[in-house]
Amino acid sequence: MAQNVSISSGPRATVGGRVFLGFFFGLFLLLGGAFEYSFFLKPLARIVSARDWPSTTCEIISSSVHESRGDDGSTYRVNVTYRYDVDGRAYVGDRYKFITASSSGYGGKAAIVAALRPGTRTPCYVNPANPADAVIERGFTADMWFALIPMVFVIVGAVGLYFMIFGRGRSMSLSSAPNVTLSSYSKAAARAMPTLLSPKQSRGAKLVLLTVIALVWNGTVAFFLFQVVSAARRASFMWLTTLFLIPFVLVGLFVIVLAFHQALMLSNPKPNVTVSKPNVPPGDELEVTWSIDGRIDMLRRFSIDLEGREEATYRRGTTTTTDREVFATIGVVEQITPAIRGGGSARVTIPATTMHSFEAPNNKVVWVIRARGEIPNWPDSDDEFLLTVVPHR
Amino acid sequence: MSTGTLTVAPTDAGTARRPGEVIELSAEWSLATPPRTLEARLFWFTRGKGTQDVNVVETQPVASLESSGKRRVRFKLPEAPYSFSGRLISLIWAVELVADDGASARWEFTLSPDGKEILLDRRMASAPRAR
Repeated sequence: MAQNVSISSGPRATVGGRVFLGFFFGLFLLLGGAFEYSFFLKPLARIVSARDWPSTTCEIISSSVHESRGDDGSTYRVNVTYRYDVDGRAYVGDRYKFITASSSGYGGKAAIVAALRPGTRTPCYVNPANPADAVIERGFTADMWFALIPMVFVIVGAVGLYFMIFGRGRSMSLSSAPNVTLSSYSKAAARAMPTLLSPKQSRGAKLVLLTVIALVWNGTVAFFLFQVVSAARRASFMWLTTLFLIPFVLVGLFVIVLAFHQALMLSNPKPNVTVSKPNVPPGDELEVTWSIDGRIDMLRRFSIDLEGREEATYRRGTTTTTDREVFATIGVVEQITPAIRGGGSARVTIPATTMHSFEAPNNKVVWVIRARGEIPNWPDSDDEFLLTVVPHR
Repeated sequence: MSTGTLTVAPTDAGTARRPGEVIELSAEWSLATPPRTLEARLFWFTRGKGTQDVNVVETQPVASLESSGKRRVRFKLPEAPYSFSGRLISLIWAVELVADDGASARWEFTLSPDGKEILLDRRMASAPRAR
């Protein structure tokens, strides 16, 4: 009987995990979307249409600040009733503005109520299509910005669903498993011409990714932080919530620092790497030519290495992790100021008994040309260019 | 799973195989109930820290509705991937004899230009850099 895992009982697709993630992201999208529609898009549509509503004079009948008490403190809204006439007919309205949700902050609402004492006459706006529909404040109010915060959930849900459906990490069935043959390698290897390599991930793309993560994370945290600060201003400090939020705030700050660090790296000298052939078998020699764009005088040390590494991806709970282990580092060039030049070339030999590039859904052997620049008092640069080491022909 | 025995082994000794080589194996089985299908599969799989990847390269039918027998099967080995072993990943080649009820037997071998498994578990010496 076969030992270990038999292909007849090989790894199963983690359908349960995918269903859970789909449900999770779908819920984010649905709830975030529903909230955005009710508290932002719908009021916004009414604000836009109310721009054409005619103005009339309303007389305030009653006004007060309505308090809604919750576990995390109180929220408030303006309660007002007013009368107005349209075509000789009297109407009573009770809408102050189109966004109806309560929010924290008592002072602002109290000031509005103070200005709308019973008997006060104030302009209001009436829907010409339905005279019973009126509003006092028809513009965009500051609290609508907070209604945008749940957009974070919409983004997280949509991005999560997108990557779950179209992204990597799909479990492999036997029929869809990669068939690693030499045919593709041989054709590629035949094109032995100098090739300018593209960076594995551009600095700009990294910055965009970090910025999106920082915005989503900190946007979510800010929503809860705002509640804590509002409560503190009303002298009801939420100790437990504050303690709970501290690690989330720290992570958010760390991501901001990373994004800032990446933004600084945009001004670093940029290496360009050309190889004599894009696909090279073990034992062959490769000529690596490089040039550096930008301020070379920033660099204290510049080096290029050919690096071979294993990359193993696995799941732990709902988290997908990739471990990396370098098994080969072959120096191409190392220059230290003031000997750093704007370009040059060197030859390296791929070890004869090493492993060729290999890519399966969860396990890889990757070869990269790694260009590193050391810059005093500034983020160092580290750019990778993918190289394909093909099997022997 | 039915009771009985399944074996698969090369007709010549040794596990070192080279890309493009043809391997010949002897498949033998003796099962309590005749299998509807009995097939030999040439495949590779990974072992190690990463989630397992498996790829069946070729499948050959061996027999049908015979409770026992002996057959020879031949596979032409592909050029890649080579057998290797690192700190995180190992890639293993094998031929498996599988009955439809799940009973199976396996023979593992190494595929590389010199027939030896490529070892990645050591740092390769760095060549001197140009200056």
